[in-house]
Parts: sequence; structure tokens; C-alpha cells
Amino acid sequence: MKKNVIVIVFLTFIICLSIILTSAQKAEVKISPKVDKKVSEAFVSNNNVEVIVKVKDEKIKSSSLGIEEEDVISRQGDLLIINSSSSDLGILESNGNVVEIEKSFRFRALLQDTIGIVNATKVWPIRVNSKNITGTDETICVLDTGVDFTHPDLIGKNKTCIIDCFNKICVQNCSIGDDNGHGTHVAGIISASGSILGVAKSSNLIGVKVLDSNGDSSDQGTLDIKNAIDWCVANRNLYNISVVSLSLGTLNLFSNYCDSSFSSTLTSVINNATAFNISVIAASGNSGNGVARNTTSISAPACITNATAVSATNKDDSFSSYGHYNFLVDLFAPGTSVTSTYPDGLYALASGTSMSAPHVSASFALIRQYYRLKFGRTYTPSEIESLLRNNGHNITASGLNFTRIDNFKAITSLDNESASVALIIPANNFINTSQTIEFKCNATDLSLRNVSFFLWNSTNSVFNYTTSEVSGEYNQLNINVSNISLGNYKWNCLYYDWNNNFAFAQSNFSLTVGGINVNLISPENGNNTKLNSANLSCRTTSEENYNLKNVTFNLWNSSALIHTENRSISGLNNVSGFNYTFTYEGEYKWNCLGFNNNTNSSFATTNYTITYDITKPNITLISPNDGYSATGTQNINFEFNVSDLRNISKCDLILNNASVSYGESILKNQSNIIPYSVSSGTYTWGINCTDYATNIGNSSTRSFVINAASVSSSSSGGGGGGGASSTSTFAPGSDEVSKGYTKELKRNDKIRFFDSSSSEHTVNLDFVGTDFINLTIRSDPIKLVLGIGQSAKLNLTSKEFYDLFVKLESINDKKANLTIQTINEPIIGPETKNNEINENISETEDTRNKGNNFLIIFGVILIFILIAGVLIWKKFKVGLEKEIIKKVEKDLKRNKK
Amino acid sequence: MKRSALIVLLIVILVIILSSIYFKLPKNDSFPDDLYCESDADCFPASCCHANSCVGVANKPDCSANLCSAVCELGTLDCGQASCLCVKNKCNFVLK
Repeated sequence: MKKNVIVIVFLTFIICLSIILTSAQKAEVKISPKVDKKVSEAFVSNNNVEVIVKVKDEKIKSSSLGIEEEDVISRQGDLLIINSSSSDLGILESNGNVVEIEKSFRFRALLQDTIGIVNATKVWPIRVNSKNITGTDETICVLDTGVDFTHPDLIGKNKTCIIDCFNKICVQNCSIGDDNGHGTHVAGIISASGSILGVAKSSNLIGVKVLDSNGDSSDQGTLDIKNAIDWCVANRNLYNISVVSLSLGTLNLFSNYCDSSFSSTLTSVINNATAFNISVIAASGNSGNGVARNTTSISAPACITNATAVSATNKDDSFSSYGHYNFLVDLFAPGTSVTSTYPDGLYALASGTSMSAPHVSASFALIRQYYRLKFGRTYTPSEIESLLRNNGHNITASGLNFTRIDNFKAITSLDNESASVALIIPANNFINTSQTIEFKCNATDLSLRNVSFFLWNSTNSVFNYTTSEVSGEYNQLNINVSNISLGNYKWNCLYYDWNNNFAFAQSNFSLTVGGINVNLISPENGNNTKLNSANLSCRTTSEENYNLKNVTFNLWNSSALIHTENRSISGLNNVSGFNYTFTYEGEYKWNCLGFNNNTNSSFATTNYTITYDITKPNITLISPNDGYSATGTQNINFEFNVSDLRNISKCDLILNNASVSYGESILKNQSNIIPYSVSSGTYTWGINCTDYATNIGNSSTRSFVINAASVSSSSSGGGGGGGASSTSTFAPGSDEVSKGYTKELKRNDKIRFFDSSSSEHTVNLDFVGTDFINLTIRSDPIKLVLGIGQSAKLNLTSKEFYDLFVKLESINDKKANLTIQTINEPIIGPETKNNEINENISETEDTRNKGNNFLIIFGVILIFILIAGVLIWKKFKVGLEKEIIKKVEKDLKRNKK
Repeated sequence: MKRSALIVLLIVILVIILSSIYFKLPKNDSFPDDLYCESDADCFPASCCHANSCVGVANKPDCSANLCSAVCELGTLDCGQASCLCVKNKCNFVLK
């Protein structure tokens, strides 16, 4: 029995212990203000989760967080990436130095900013010979770990399969891509064209493999690179190769040119490439692997004279903390936290001079393309390098001056042509009675920078001067100048471009403010009339110093002036009407010429037209035929043809002498249809058409009979579309969507809507599950899974704010009740919150966790009660046995007595 | 019997506590000779490119012929993220 007790106690404690440990583990994965919900959710299906931990201060050591050092994957300032277990999470959560814990998404598409820093985006709109400067027809050899050309942003960029030079003579190998990711990242910086854009987004690539899956060369790495460059040079004409990009380097550093001290073989290969006008761009190397960041030495092959050595800046143009540099470095480019393509359709953030070099490689391609198109010759590697070095953003360190590349500055520095300027209105020698005048001029150039408007008076003093910043290759300036004194003026526009070339229009335009002005009043321009008599009137005004003298009415037919009428007038403002009787049909033009006492004279700016038309439209009926008959209510297309001198304004369908419907947008001399539904009866029908001069033409009449439908028929009759599950597209108005638009959708239904910037988007319901749905939101496709009650905020147009709210309200009978609402809510916090799913399930999970905890506690208490009960019962049983024995002994003693 | 049951109970609890403490404590295992060092200068990256561990001088790889991709790979010695330090005569990869 003693043994049994021990076994029971032991087993009980094993059970209790396991329950307590399990419950403790679960309890640790709870939602806390510090921990992002996505972290808790990730622990449901993972034992370890990669989390980003934000600590109060970047000086706080990771060792003080209470977790194993080996779990810290990396650190940047106050952010640590930690491979966390659930118990680690509890420790981190309770640590006072930890501010925030959220799920780390290793690969995430972020807004690219480095292409803007190097001003590639300002270069792309520049057009030479109708082609944008985007790297078209330029090919860059990327000597790296390979390239994953199946990435959506790199598809079609490859001129060949991967050229495999790793530890072998170069061979084309279509079965390899990129087993590391580095080469794909570099390729994206150069040429991506999709969700992200490379610096030379239309350039082509050749992926050459010289590094292995660890980013390491073979033991004969120098020879591999020599072979690779040789291959690119040998195939330069076949693939239009202009740049070789090397985001790699030695661990050994060189303080001076290393043409002979590193590898004379590689030096001669690079010299050969540049001799063929192929630029070789190489990274200067990073600190690491036992090599401290160096400001007096750089890696090879960047140190070779004819290679263009590139080191890294941060996005604020400060020097990176890792990139080697010395006087050998030719150019700098952004290298820190650069977003680019990554294998398997992903995107990754990476840092290093590896990222700087492709920015420069692509810039070389842009400049080569510009020069080829503009000047019809190839720009040499040293010319391009000098151009970028002399036209970029200056940065200084250790007494050395360097340049961070600026493509726009470099390319516009080649522009030696001033803008072509044209003056539009008012026309030269224009007389304007109003003292407020609108001026318009325009200009074209490679890239315009600003425009100045000049208005000079008769003594050549500037009466008005206005200047404004402009951009692009075309600009039109519209400017209103008011309170212009009466007198004679000249005006012109002066345009500057980004290379400070400037130009006026070829000659100034003259302008007189004052004089005489004529406006035509009635009838309106383009009038049509069937009346042979017309009254045509015009208003004549003169500047206040000179009275009106006379006005002449002129009327032209299609070929000549057929009528003039002169009338004396006076004052400063006069309206005169002129009667004219038309004798034949046709289109006429008319105008008035006013004179004042100062010999100023003027017509109205444009002639008006008037058409005299007395011909009625001629209508021919087509169908239904006369005597047509049918059974049951019919939708009949009444078809006819109409001809007329002028256009037709409308046609009426006349049924039994009454107009029952009409058609607009009637085409002359073509078949027109007016549909109309008729029930049983006998009808006559015809068409009456009215032209713009209100002449009405009547057609002949036809008759038809519609018989009543038979009552005995039991067929379903027509069926009307059956049960085919057609899809619907709903198009709510912007107002509706902004207030929250809820619609019941079935699979493949769409909601099309416009956001506040009038961009169109479509929400497509891809799948309806029992308690969730799959959605796709376009134009920029976003896939979304929502459970019932779940909502999501999306940023469709900007990373600055959420602009769409989507919520799945319910699912009934395979139909989802979905709400969408356009919003404008700033995105606060790190970029990992780009599209945020708000899961209302968190509360229910909390409740569930609480329920689980309660059950666990209840179970433990129950087990302890059971143990206590067993022990008490044992004690009671032993006591009872003792009493029985005592009683039996007493009875025995009594019996003996 | 009551006393003996309680004793058993206490022993079980004690064993559980001690074993859990034992498993939680960092193991003070012996380490292989290739990690032996006397100072930081004896410790080197275990591989030529993007190393994420360290070795003693005796096992220092020959990287004179190697070229590496010039990227700062996370969780490695690249770009000053970590260093090789000699701790208790053992070369350690220590993140900064």
C-alpha cells in the first residue's frame, strides 16, 4: 500500500508538472501592448519566430536582454532581429529595455528611394529621337552569383541563359539561376522593371556566374573573373554589351593602383574591355571577416586603374560605416538598405558596396544611351566616368573630394542647346481694348528649368515681369496681366534649361492696348435656320479716348463676299443689327468691321456661320415590313434610313399616329433603330425626323399585327437566361465608397471604384470559403484573405497613408457581404505595417486563452483534491482498521475472562 | 506512512527543480582544439566570405585567392556586425 501511494504521488506530480509547463508555455504567447499580434499568431504554427525587437537605446547591449546571444541574428541601431522561442518572447516582453516586438518579415517590397537619390527618375522622361533615356539597347554583364530571371521584375531582361564561369571555362547553362540571391539583387538595382524599378529600367542583362551559393569565389576566382570579362568582351557586338558590373572584391586591400600587384592578367583583361568601350565597374569592398573598414585601401579589382571603383554612401549622402575608400575610389552611390529583387519573386533589403556598384553600372548605361542617341557615337568609359565625377553631388572626407552620382546633372550637362520658344497669344500686332490680357507662350528643350515673362512698354521699360520654375521637356506658360495702361507694348518669354542654356522667342510680339473691339452677338455661331430672313447683330466698342465712327456688315457664301452694308455709329459702345434675306440654301459666314475716329479698325476675332436649310429629311423605312405579324408581346426594332442636307437632331417613332419613342444621335444615310415593346393589336407605324433647322420629314406608313399569345401553351417560354452563374461588376460612386459601400458578392464578382485621386481600382472576389474569402485588389495587385469580421487597411497609392478599408461582414449561401471604404489615414510606425490586417479574432483568441488557463488551473486543483482525498481516505481506513482490531482484541479478552 | 509519503513527495519536487535548473544552465562543455585561443588575435573567421563563426589561428582559412560578394550579409562578420573574440580560451563569434 505504501508503494501504491508513492506511485500515485509520483505520477500525479509528473502530470501536474507537464500541465504546468505546457500552460506556462501557452500563457507566454499572449497578446501584450509590446508584442505585435502577428508575433503571437506566428507562434501558433512555429516553435521559433524571427522577431524585430526595438530597444530603448541603441547603447543597450543584446546580452542585457536575458536571452541567448546566439539567438540574436543581427542588429542595426536600436533594432535587433532575434530568433525567438515562446519563452524568449516572455523574457523580452518583461524586459524594461524592450519597447516593441514585432514579426520580422525577411523579404518585403519597400518603396525604392535610391533611384530617386541618383536622379534616375528625372532622367527617364528625357527623350532623344523619341526615345526615353531608360537604358534601352544597352546590356550589362553582371558577374555575380547568377541571376534569377524568372523574377517578375526581371522577366525578359536576359539576353542569354546564365553564363557559368565558376571554376570553369565559361559555358551557357540554362538550368541554373541564382543559388545565393546576391546577383538577383544586383540585377534588380540595374534593370528591374515591375514592382520596383532599376536605375536603367529598360536595359538588358547577362548573368555571369563567378560566385557560389555562399557569395564566395572558387579558389581560382581571379581566373574565373578574367574568363567572364573575356566572354563579355567577345560577345559585345552580339548582345550590345556596354558595362561589366562587379559587386565583389578581395579581402586583401590595396592602398594604390594594383595593376601589377594584384593580377596583371585581370588588369590586361579590364584594359582590353575598356579599349572596346566596355566600362568595368567594381565595388571597393566592405569591412568584415577580420578586415576593418579602411579609408586608405580598397579591394581588388576595384583598385585596377581602368576599373571604375565605387564605394557606398548612406541615403543622406553621409559615408557608409562599412565601405572602404581612398583616393582610388572614382564614384560613390547609395549602398545602405537598398531594396531590390530577390529569388523566388521576393524582394530584399541589402547593404554594401555591392549595392552601390550596380547603381553606377546602370548610370553608365543611361549616359551611353543618351550619347549614342544624341551624338551618334559611343561615349568612352573614361568620358562617362569623368562626366559623372564632374556633375554629381560633392562629398568630402579625409581631405579628399568625391562625387555621389547624379544622373540628371550628368546628362543635362551635355545639353548645349537652348530651348525653342514660341509666343502664342495675343498674336503679333494685336489690338486689345481690355486692359486685362492673357498671355501664352511655350517652349521645348531637353529639360526646362524656369521661365520668365517680360512685358515692355513703348519706352522699353519693363511693365511686367513674372518668373516661375518649370520642368520636363515641354512647358506652356499662361499668365494674366491686368491694369495694363493704354498704349503700345512688346512682350516675350525667356526660358532656362538645367544646363543654364537660355532663349527668348525669336522676336518680340507687339501689342496695342486700346483701339477698337468687335464681338458678334446673334445668332450664335453655327446657327441653322429654315426662315429666309435673318437678323444678324454685332457689338462694337472703342477705347475711351476715341468715339466710334462706322460699322460694316459682311456676308460670304461658300466662295465669295455676297453682301456688305455700312452704317454710321457713334459713342463708345454700339450694337447694330443687319437684316438679310436668303435666296438659296447653304452655309454662310458673317462678320462686322468696326472703325473709330483714330483710324483703328477691327473685325471680330472669328467669322460666325449661319446655315439656311429648307429641305426636309427624307426617311425610308426598312423593317418591320408592311403586314408583319407576330404572336405575343414583342420587342421590335423599328429600323429606318434618313438623308438630309444638314444633321438630324432627332427622329420620332409614330405608332398609330402618336409619337411613342424617339432616337437621338441619328446617323445620316445609315440604318438607325428605335426599339419599342408592343403588345397584341393592329398598328400603323412611321418615322418623323427633325433636322437642325427644325425641318420635319415624315416617312410613309406601314402596318403590322401582334396576335395574343395562346393560353394553352405550357412551355416555360423563353427561359430568360437560365441559372448560369454570371459575374457582376458593381461600380459605386466615389461618394458611396467614401461613406462605406457594402455589397453582397458571389465568386468572381467585382467592385470597381475610384479613389480620391481618381485612380481606378477593382476589388475582385476570387474565392468564397465557409468562413473566409480571397480577394484581389488591383491595379497594383494585392492578394488578401479575410475571415468573417476581419478587416484590412491598404495603401494602394502611397506608403504615407492607408487609402482603402476592406471588411468581410458575413458569408451567407456562398455570398460574401463585403464593405469597402476609401479612407485617408496616415501610416504611423515602421514600414512593415504597409498593409495592415486588423483581425478582430484577437479578442476571441484572448478569451480562448483565458478559457484554457481556467481549465488548466481547474484540472490542477482537481488533481490535488483527489490526492488529498486519497490520503485522507487512507488515513481514515487505517484508523478504522485499528479501531476494529482494538475492538476484536477487547472482545477476545472479554471472552477469555 | 504519512511521513514517508511526504518525504517521497519532497524528493520528487526537489529532483524536478534540480533537473530543470541543470537543463537551463549553460553547459560548460569542453570545446574542440580548433577553437583554442589565448587572445583575440588568435581568432579568425571560419570561412573566407560572410563567416558566421570563428576558429583558432591553427584553422585559419587561406583566403588569399578568394573574392567575395561585397554585401553586408545579416548575422555574419560583414560590415562590423560581429567580431571574433577569445573568451575563456575559446574563439567566439560575438555580435556587437
